Amino acid sequence: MTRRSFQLWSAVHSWTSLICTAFLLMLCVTGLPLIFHHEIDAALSPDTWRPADPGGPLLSYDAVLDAALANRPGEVPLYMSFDVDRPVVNVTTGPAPDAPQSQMHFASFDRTSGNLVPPPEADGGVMDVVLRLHTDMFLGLPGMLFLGAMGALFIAALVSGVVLYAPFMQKHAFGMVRTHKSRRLKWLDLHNLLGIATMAWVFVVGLTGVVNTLEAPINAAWKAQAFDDLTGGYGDAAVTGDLASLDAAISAALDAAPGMTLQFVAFPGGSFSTNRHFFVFLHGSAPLTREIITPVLIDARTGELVGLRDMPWYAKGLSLSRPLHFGDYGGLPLKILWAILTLFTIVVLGSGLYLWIARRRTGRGRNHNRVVTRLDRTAAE
Amino acid sequence: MRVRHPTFLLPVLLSAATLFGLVVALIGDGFAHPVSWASLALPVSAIGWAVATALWRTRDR
Repeated sequence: MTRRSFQLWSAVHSWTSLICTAFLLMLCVTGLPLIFHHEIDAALSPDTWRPADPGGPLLSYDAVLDAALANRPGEVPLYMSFDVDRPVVNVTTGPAPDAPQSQMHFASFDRTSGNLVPPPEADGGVMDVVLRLHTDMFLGLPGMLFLGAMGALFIAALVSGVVLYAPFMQKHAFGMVRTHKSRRLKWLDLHNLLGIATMAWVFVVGLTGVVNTLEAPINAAWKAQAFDDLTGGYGDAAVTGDLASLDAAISAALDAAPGMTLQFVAFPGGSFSTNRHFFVFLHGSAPLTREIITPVLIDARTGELVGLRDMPWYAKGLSLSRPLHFGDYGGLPLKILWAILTLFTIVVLGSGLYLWIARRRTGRGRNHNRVVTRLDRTAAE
Repeated sequence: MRVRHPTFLLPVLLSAATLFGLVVALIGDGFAHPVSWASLALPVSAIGWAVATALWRTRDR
């Protein structure tokens, strides 16, 4: 490495880090409790609900739909979703198919009895605030994209940090921490050690975090593509008369995609479907395939299959970015490792800031100069 | 004198273990989980080992 490229990489590392460090520290501190979101929620509001007839036969989807509509007379069904770990079906209804979100009604039903399942008592409270801070700082899409930009700078800081590791550590063994010389040297060594040992994890979590901030544009593009593909040529005339059986529609969808399970149903006329189709969303059941969703279009009059589309690559990328960012796919030990690695990242960010301040206070860093001198000497030889 | 390894040997090995650990739990269930924990514990233990050694040396001084 020449003196010039060393100084260039140093400048990249300093400036990208300086801009993003405050936000990255916030993301790490809020991310830490979010790793255990599920456990914290379960502890704050334990789920004491039990099905009326545990292990008993399950009602048909049509029967659950009837129960939901009897509960909200005069309304139409918009969406239906399915709990993974309990026999509960969630039905969203509204006064009209194109009802705005504020007029929608969400209710959960026991599939063994058709009874209403009481909604969770406590709302998310503190954890919701933490989640909003972490995803968009309460600023909506602009905030989300801004944090994505900070993440991109953080990745640039990480890459330049890895490049700079070579000249700093060329003469030293991995894991060196000089505790006895100066406080600055100790923190420089810790910064280098923690940074380089965690680089792969930090890169994955950083990159997937950036991809997650692009959720809205990615989903919009996917929806537009899948809709155009599948629904083109069907016109927009609203379906009249009785709808086909929901159970028939769902089994037609499941038959078309063997091995997949039911995730979500969008009813005709809503923003996730057309005026004359059910959109049935299926997904896999392994951690990898659970996030991969296949939309299946079903004719709302006949309950017959119209077509299905695999997720495009960019939507698959987003789907895989979720577990790889959250760390929620390998049990509690994985979450604990995630938390430890987050703490290490906080140390790397904090020590980086400290080193920058200390270097400014004492003029250019002695260690920095030593590396430059050595690079000059190597170039001369 | 200790044998010196290339600067990036251990960082690359630790990164490979990390990536393996991240992917294996994503692909498989059951036995894949402990394998994933063990792989991801490698970079964490490397840091723990280096810091513990440094503290030990400081105390001996």
